[in-house]
Amino acid sequence: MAVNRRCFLLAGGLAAHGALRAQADWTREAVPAYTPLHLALGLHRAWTLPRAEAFLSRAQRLAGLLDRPSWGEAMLAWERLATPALGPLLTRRSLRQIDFAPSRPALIARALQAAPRDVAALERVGSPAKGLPALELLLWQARPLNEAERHYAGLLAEDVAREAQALHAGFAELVAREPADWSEEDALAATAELLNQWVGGLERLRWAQMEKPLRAGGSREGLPRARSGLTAAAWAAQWQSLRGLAVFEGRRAPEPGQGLVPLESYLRGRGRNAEADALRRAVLLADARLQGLSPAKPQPVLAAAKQLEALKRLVQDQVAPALDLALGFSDADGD
Amino acid sequence: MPTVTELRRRQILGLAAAGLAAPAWAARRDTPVELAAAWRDETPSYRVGRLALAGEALVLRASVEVPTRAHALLAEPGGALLAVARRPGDWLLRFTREGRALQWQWIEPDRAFTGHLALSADGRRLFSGETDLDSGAGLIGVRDARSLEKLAEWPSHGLDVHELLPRGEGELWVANGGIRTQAETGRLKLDLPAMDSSLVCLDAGTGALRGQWRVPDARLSLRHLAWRPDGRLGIAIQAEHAQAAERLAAPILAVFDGQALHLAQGQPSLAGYGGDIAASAEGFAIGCPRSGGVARFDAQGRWQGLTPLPEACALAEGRHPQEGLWAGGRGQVLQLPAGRGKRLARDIELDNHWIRL
Repeated sequence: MAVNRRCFLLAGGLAAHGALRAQADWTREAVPAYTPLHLALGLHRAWTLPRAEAFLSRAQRLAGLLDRPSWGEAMLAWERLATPALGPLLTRRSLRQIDFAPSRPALIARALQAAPRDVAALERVGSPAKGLPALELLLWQARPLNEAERHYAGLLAEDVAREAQALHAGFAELVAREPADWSEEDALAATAELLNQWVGGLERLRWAQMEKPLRAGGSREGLPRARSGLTAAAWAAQWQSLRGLAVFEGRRAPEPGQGLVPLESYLRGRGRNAEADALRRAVLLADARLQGLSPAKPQPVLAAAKQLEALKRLVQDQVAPALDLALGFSDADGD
Repeated sequence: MPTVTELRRRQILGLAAAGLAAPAWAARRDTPVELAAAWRDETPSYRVGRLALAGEALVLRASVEVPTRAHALLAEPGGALLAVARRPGDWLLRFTREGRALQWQWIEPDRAFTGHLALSADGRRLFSGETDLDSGAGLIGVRDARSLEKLAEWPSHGLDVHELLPRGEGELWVANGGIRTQAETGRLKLDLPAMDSSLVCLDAGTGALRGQWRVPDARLSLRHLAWRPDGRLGIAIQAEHAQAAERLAAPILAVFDGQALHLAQGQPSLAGYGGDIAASAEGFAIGCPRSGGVARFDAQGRWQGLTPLPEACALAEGRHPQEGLWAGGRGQVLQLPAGRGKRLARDIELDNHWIRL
């Protein structure tokens, strides 16, 4: 036990040293002055397109296997892509199309009775009876799927895969655009969208996914992914995305236009180190609170939600003004 | 359309029918000054509760923490208070004046509260401003006032519902702000060139549309409402012009005389932002947080002046005409028209509206 403890402390010390060294790098090696175009290019090349590819792959696997493990993998890949919702996810309203919650058992029963023959027929089925939540309900019911249910579930999975294909195409189109094809307005809009949607994703995790279901009481079914027991995994996937877009976690700042520029690096490139430091601190504080959460233990979840709220306020009050960007997900604007 | 005189007669009759016509000021001049408000404190956390005048200060008496920013409040006949989340919101709270939460009502799936409530004349129905998150259409939720459960939905005949005000037994007046938003992008204003704001009168029993009016300038968003005893309706406006100069100089008040909407006259630049509105002895008062004061107009909408108050916004009519109005700002509360100031703790950052209890 003593040996294990010494190993743990040594590993912790090395990790801490590593974190300090990574953070200290920016004081000796100048962070590039990234433009909005660099941010947009890096975002889609290094972040959204790879995640869209991963989601497409998992969605196709789900459509083929139609089992619980493949649903779980597809769901987590979706959370990582859709948090925050950017670009084609917004224009297509993909969250409503394939992740509408709560699903409605009565509507699903009605859809089963109507027995849509193919994916095209799903157009007449309402969103609360489709998508990942409806699939979860079907796959985690207490008995095996009957023939009609298996057919319907197959259509739902095919529908998810089609949306995944469309999203992949949309992000691929963004990546294929030459830098010269991006107007200054487009690049600024992409930057504003990233920050606004990052805050929106944070608020969605904090309130809709964590705090509200616990406050609203009743059964734990109000929690996301409750039927599959993957609530905590879903939270973790969303947070990992938000964290990854917020703080620099590499060894060397990316070359402009080549790699992901997290918000922290974007701030540093503009000389806003105080705000970047504050952002980093707040993200790491929130990260610590978000480890090991369980929906069965509400108090730590509510404490983590409080930390996320503090992070949101920091971004709203300090980061957005530092970047001269207005937020649509702001608590601070008027009415 | 009825004349102003006819509106006044009907208003008085309506108020009488609702048991509200007896002038409270004639009966109780010594009512302690208490206001129900929403605010953010130094923690910071969002709270709703009761503030009371104690000497030269407005002090906190009781409060409840709420999970997201609150907006408007409403006093129920039985003494409890209702607060609703700011748009796009998902909660409605009934709480006691002593600061005890009694009931949370969560919005139905695919709907969001837009921050305002109103009671029917008979007190049996609660109207809530809402948005259909799929289409973006404005809705009026019709709820059982006791259980807070939704009984029906009516279209608001527009987008972006703001304040609702009943009049008499038969009418519900609604300000459609007219700005499209989408749940996925929060409060981000979309497609402003296509904004379509309007004032609407609905039948308070059926939701049928009785009338709809617009101002000529499509970039003016009608937001908050106040009735005068003479039957005129004041509407506080927020401007959304693309050009800053135009926006900042835009009128912040429209007056409805029963026939048409008339924009304020002779008004200086007030940053294009009217936050709250109340009827005053003078006419109408509008809280202008971006101009640092309470803008005053006569009953026809003619400019009267600006009473300075930092971050002035929330306005509440007193219990009797002699009491005037209570205007909330940052660190200070003013009783208008006398302009007597009271301290307000600086760590209470008031939200846009409050009500006199």
